[in-house]
Amino acid sequence: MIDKMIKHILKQIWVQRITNAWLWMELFLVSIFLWFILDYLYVAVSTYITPTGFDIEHTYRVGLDQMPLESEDYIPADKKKTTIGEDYLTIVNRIRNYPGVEAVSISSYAYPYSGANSFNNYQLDTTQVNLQLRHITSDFFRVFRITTPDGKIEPLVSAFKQKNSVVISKDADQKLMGDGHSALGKTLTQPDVDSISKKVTGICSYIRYSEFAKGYPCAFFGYEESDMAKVNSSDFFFGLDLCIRVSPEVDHNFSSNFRKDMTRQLKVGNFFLLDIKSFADIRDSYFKMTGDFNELKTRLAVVAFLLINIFLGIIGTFWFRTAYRRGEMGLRIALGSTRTSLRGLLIAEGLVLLTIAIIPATVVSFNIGRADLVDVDRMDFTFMRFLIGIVVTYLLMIGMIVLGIWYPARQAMSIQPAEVLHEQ
Amino acid sequence: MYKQYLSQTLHLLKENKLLSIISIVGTALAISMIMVIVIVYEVKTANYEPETHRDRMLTIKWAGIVDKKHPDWNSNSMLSLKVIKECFYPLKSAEAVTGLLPYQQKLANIPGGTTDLKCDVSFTDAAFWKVFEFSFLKGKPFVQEEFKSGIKKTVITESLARHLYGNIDVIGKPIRFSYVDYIISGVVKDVSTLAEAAYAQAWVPYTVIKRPFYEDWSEGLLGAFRCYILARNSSDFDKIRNEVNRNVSALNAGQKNQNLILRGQPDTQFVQMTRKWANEDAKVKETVIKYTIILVILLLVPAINLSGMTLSRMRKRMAEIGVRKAFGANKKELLGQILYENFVLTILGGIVGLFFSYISVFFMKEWLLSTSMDSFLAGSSSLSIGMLFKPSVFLYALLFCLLLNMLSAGIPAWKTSRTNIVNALNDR
Repeated sequence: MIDKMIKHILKQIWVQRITNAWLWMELFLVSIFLWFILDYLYVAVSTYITPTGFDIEHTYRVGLDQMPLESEDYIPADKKKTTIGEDYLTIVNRIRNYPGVEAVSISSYAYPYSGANSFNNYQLDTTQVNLQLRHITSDFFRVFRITTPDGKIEPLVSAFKQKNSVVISKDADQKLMGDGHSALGKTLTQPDVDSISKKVTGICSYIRYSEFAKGYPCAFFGYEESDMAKVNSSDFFFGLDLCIRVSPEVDHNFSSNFRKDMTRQLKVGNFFLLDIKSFADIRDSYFKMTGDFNELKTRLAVVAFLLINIFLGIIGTFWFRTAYRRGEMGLRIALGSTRTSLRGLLIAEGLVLLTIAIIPATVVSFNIGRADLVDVDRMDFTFMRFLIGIVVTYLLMIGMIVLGIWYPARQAMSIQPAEVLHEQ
Repeated sequence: MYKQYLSQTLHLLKENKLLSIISIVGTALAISMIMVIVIVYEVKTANYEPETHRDRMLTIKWAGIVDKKHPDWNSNSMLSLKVIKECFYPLKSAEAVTGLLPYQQKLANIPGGTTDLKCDVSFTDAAFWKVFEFSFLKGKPFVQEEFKSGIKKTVITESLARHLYGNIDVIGKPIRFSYVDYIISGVVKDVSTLAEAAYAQAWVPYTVIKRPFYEDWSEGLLGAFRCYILARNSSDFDKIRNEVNRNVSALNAGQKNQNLILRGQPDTQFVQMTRKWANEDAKVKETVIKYTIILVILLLVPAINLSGMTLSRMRKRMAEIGVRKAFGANKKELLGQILYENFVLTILGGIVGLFFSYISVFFMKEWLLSTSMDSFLAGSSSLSIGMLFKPSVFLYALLFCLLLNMLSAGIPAWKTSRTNIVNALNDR
C-alpha cells in the first residue's frame, strides 16, 4: 500500500519535474548549509553546557590603580615608611574585613575571562606537557569555588598551603601520567630550568577558560601573602588581580556600596580604588570581545533565513501546483478522496521530494565533516555528532515543508468538485 | 513602453497577491541581510568624523618581539614610545604620524569635588589632531610646543564637560584625572566607540607621563602605544611600508637580544579590522572567504526560490507570451520585458529590505557593530546619520538587487523568450 503510494508520488514528482528540479536543488543546497550551521551550534551549545570548573556567582574584581609620578599626591619612596607590598596587604586586609566578604584572593593570569594568559612546558619524569599557568593565593579556590574532582574546596586550599606545592587540573594529571595513575606526591619540573621543581599536592577538576573554550590542562602556582610584604616594585603589583567572593545576603548594589564605603579606606600609600566590577559584567565584556555570542546569533540568523526561504519556496511552488492541478484535485474528491487524505497526499509529495534531496546532501555533508571543514577543535567529528546534526536538519525541513504546504493545501481542499469538473 | 510594462506588472502584482508577497518577502529578506553586512562594513571602514581619513590612514595596533637566538620565543603586546620615536615619527613619506596610548581608565572629577566619574583618557601628541578631525565646540587642541613642554592641558568631550560642570563653557577650568590636575583647553563633540582609533572621553599630551608602563621590559620594544600614519595619498602606502621596514631593520640591528616584529603592519582600515589578537597575523583571506560564502548563500538560496516561482508564473502566462510572439515581439524584447517585470518586484523587495537592514543595524548595534574593545569603554557606540546614510550604501543595494534579479529571473526569462510560438499558444 505504502510503496504503491510512494510510487504514485514519485510519478507525480516526475511529471512536475521542471518546477520540482528547482525545489529539489533548493532543498539539497539548504540541507547542506543548514546541517553545517546546526553542527556548529551543536558543538557550541554542548561546549557551553559542560561545567567550566569555576563559579562566578557573587564574585567581584577589585581594580586598584597606583598614583602616577606626575600626580601631586604621589608619595616618593623616600618619604614612605612602608613598602609597596605592605600597602597592598593593608588594602587586602581592609577588604577582607568589609562586611559580607567571604574570601579575597590575589592572582595573576588566573581569573576567568581575563583575556591574558601564561603558558609553559612542564615535565614529570619524561613526559612533557604544555600547561596554562595560574599564579594564585590559596583563597582563589574559595573565591571561584574550584574543587577536587569529587567536589570539595577545602582539601585544595590546605594542599596548596604546603611549601613548594602545585595543584594541577585533572586533564593535566591524565596527560602527565596516563589513565589510572596519579601525579599526586610527584615532582613537577620545568625543562631546561633546574631551579624550578614543585610537588603536586592536589588535583582539581577540569578548568576551562570560558564557557565556549575547550578545556586546557592547567597548573596553579602559589603566591604567599607574607612574601609579598617585602616587594617594593610598583610594576609587580600592576600585574596582580584582587578577586573577592561575597555572601549572597550583601550582594545587592554591592559595587556601589563598596565604592562608597571603601574609596577612602583603600587609598593607602600610592594605591587607590579605581573600580569594582562583578564577574557577571566581566564575563559580558569578555564575550563581547571574543564575539562568541555574536557569532552564535549570526549563525542563528542564517538558520532562520534558510528556513524562511524553504518555507517561501514551498508555499510558492505548491500554490502553483494546486492551482495547476485543480482538475485532478476535483476529480479525486469526486471519486471519494477525503479532503484530509488530499492534504496528506500533497504533504507526502513534499516529504518525498525532501527525502530525495537530503540523501545526496547527507553524503556531501558527511564528507565536509570528514574533511575537517567543521569545528573539530572543540569536539571530535563522530558519527553520533553527524547523525544528530543531520536528523535535526531533516526535522526542521519537514516542519517548514508541512507549514508551507498547509495553506495551498487548504486552498486545494476548498475546491467544489462539480465546479472544477464543469470547467474541464 | 516601459511605462506600459510597469502598469502591467503592478496589475499582475495585485492579481496574485500571495505570490507577490512571497517574492517581495523573499527578496526583502535577502537584501536586508546583505545590506546589514554592507552597512556594517561601511561603518567600520568608511570615512566619518573624527576618523575622516580612514582611506589614507595606516594603523599599527600590535607589536611583538622575537628572541634573536630562539625564533620560537615570542611575546606580543603594543608599541613602546621608543619604537614610535625611532621607526614612525621620522617617516618622510607620510603626511603625519601620531602615537597614542589609547583609552586608559581614569577617575575624573573637579579638583576638590566629591563625585568620581570613570572615564577613558587617551594620551597622545599634537599630530593626533591632524590625523583625526574633531569638531571643536569650544577652545582648541594643544599644539606641538605645548606638547613638547609636557603641559597638563586636556581636550574633553561635551558629555564629560556637562557631567562635571553642567555646561560646556569650561575652557581654562581645571579637571582631575586620577589625582593629576589638568586645564581644559578644548571641548569636542562626543566620539562613538565605533571610531576605535580616535575614541576617548578626554585627550592629554603623553609627555605628561613621567614613567611609561611596562617599557623597561623587552629591551624597550613593547609598550602600550598604538600608531596611526596619515599618508598624503593611499598610493603612498607601499612607500610608507617600505620605509617602516627599513626603520625597523635599522632598529633591530642595534638590539641586543630581541627583534621587533610587526606581522605585516602597518595595516589599512580593512586589514586592521581582521586583525584581532596581538599574537596573530591579520586574517584577510579568511574574512574575505567567510563573507563571500555568506553572500553567495544569501543570494543563491532566494534566487533558486524565486527562479522556480518565476518559471511557474511564466508557464501560466504562456498563452500571453505566444500572442506577443505571434504579433512580432522578438526574443530580446521578451527577455527585456520579463527581466523588467521581475526587476520591479526585486526593487520593491529591495526597498523593504534596505529599510529593515537600517532598523536592524540601529536596534541590534551591540551585536552587529561590536568591536573588540567597546564593552570595556565608558562611552557609547552611537551611530550618526553620516555614518549610515551614504550614497555608496544605496548604490550597493541597487547593485545587489540587479544581481539578485539576474539570478532569479535570468534562466526563466531566457527559457520563456525562446519558447516556440505554436507551443506557447497551445499553452504547452
